[in-house]
Amino acid sequence: MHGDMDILLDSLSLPQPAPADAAEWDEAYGKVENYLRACRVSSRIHRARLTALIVQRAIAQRPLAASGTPITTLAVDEARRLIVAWMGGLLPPRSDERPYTQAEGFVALYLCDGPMRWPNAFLNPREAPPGFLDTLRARLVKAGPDLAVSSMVPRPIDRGILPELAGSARATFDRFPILRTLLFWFLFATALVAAFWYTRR
Amino acid sequence: MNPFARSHRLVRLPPLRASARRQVFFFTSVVVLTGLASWVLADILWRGGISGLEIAMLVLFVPLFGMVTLGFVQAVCGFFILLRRQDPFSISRTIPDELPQPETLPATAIAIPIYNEDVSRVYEGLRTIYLDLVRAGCIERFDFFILSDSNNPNKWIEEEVAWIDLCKQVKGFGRIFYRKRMVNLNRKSGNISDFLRRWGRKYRYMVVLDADSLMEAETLMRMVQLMEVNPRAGIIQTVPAPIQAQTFFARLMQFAGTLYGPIFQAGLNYWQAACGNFWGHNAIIRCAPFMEHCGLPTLTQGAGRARFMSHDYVEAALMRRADYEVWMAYELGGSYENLPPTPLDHACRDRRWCRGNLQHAWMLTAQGLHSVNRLHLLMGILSYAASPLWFLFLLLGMMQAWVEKSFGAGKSFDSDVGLSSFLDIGGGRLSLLLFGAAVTMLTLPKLLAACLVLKDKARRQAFGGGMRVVAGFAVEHALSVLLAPVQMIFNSRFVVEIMMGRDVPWNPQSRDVGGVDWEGIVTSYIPHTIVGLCWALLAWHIGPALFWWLSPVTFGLIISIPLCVVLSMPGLGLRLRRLKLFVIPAESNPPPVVSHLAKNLESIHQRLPPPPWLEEQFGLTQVVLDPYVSAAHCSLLRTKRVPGGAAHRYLRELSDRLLAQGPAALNRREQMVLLRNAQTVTDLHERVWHLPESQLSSWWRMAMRHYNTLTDRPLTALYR
Repeated sequence: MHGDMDILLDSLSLPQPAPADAAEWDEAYGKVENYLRACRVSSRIHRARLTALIVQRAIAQRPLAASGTPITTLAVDEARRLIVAWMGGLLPPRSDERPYTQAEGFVALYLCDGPMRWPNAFLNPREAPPGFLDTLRARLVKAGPDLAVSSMVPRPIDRGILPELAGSARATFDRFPILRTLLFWFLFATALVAAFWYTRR
Repeated sequence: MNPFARSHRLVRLPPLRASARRQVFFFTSVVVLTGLASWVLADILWRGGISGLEIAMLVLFVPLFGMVTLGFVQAVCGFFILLRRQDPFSISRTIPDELPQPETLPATAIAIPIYNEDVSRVYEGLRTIYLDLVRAGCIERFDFFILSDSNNPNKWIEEEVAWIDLCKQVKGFGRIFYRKRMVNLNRKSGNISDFLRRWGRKYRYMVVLDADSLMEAETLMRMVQLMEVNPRAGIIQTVPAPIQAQTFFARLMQFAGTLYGPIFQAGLNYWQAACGNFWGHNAIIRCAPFMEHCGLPTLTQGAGRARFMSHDYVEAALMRRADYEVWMAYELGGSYENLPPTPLDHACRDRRWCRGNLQHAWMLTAQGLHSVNRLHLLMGILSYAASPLWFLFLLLGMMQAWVEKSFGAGKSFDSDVGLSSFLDIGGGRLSLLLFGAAVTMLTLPKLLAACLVLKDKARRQAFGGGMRVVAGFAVEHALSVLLAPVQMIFNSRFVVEIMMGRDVPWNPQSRDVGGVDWEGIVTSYIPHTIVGLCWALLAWHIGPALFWWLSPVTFGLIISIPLCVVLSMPGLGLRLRRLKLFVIPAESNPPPVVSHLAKNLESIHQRLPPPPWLEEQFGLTQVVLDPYVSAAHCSLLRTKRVPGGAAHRYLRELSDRLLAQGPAALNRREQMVLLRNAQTVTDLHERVWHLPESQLSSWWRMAMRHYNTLTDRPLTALYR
């Protein structure tokens, strides 16, 4: 798996991009560097070397890419491809032989603080310290324990006759809002009549 | 332990029938006092006949005064229990002083249901509890479950990242778990039921915490021990003490709760005994009977099926119906919670609680409930329904005064009839006697509680000294008089709106201190001011005497806006704290968990927050930009398959809109739809990094620059 990566940093040499593409390559370089920074590659020197390597590989692949593909897309794609391939080599298969997903690999890397504790090991298959590998492989996330399914069903409550009557009355009023409005007017008129009677008696 | 508790010998609870004697005494006292007061009012009103208005006033007076009497008798009972320091019905006394050996405790789940809460407060509280359990050597006996119902996409992402960060920091994987429900069926009670269906069988007990709960390890251990010693106990509720108040209002409430709370709690335990209540959090529950008996059905049948909003009272009643006991461990201590910071936040919480309590009317006649549980439900209803009744009572009194003035039918209070003749004091004095009795019943409980503190040197000093207790008592009492009518108008409005069928949204409770929300205060309290002014003018028109009688009510309403502004000021609250006014024992001698939490929150609040435009979309930004956050979110999603057909096109259209126009182009529901699909989230992450800047919206360009340059290294959503 690592054979096709060819990420020997000693062989690093950046070809000169065509003047017309210079600005785009600059942007691509910046994006790759920022992406590595987002991956917590905090060592600037290591980041610069990795960025140069990735851009170099992207430049080499440009002629093979579909026409119109933005240069930043090529470069960031290459960065992600390298990272995923590198992580795939580090994580062992599960007990059921299924490979770990890319997301699980990233989470394991984050949890073991890999890029910060072993900065030179990032994207470097030749320098994976044993401590790094052991820690990375131990960091498997489980959001919940094994299920112990049981049943909890709502139990009916006999609420007695009054709530049942009130419930049916409420349902009727909900179904016929005009009836509700008429009742409100009736109550208001009754209150007015009562007040009139009270003050005139 | 509660400061009033002392070293005690191990006791067995008396048989439950013995508590019936207490209940007979308690309710007889309430009935006798209410009856006497009602008699006096009837005697005052019935002079030369009694009018319809007066009959209405008398009818309203009986339940309203009954509530006052109940509070008074409860406080007096509590006072004598705390004075004697002996309560055979205190469940805390059924276990020895020594802590149990951790290995003797069964596995217990600590469930924390959350809904769009302040992530740092939730997780710092959890961290504090977790580390305290580690210190006590019993962490192996407890598993934590964060049960999220959040429907704010930013909160969701922040919760996930905070969970991973916290587990990483405290080595809590396999001990702290996170679950996000995709469908928020039945709100908080549904969230707990969902947890129990999945994992309830693994645990004998479950401790339910709120987002702002805090508990000491010793308290958690004792709660489990209490359940073990009392196998018929279904729920044991602790009494959470208020902490971390900063605004004047919150400090006032915190002071009142800490100073007056103990006698009311002891009094409550006096009459409820094993028929206690569940307050929804800071309580331990026996899982198996809870699962068997406390599944809540819908409240009403038919198309508009309503769900219980205040599920806790009903669950306690159902547990008791199943012959399990529900106790309040009021002497346990070590249990804390936060308070709403401002009167407006308090009113918002009351609005939610009001709906939940009024719903309990449907349960009053339910078959098989214990009569004490019915009383709890009724008292919950009356605690809100009393406000419109008091309002009506005062209005009727005004109408009566107006009728008497207009039609010259004024009563001669000096007419020597009835009770006043028998007592030889005259009708006017009889009125004053009744007024004095009401004031005494409202004031004496607070005074007794203050005396209890004043007589104990250590407690007195923990409250800042005798003078400060007295000053705090006086100021709190004066302000509570001013705030009572404001609350009365609020609650009356809530009751009417709910009765008219207005919906009450499920909003998270505000627990954080911000600045003074001038606009919110003015718009919320302007009706109070207008009502107060009109009421005062009308009273003056009827007669100056009535104006002055009503002045405590109308004055509180008229000044409600400036009063609320002053009470909402965090600066004023902190100045009062420096003066040691309204100081409480948890501040003068803070327990370690409280100081740890305060210290951790302080360090978070000192961090430079993102700019507001980014902060409100911080979770979404992080999940799109940060490779680790994106990966963490995807690995936690259960749906990982790629949707096809129309669903795929819809998700693609949402993604395009998000990247082309920024997060504001999507509403909250659309953002949630995007975040629920792992493939879409991965695609978004790749696209935002792949695309040249010129093809991104200005919002994403700014967000990327901010993300790439603001800090030494990218921050995850939480902290540290």
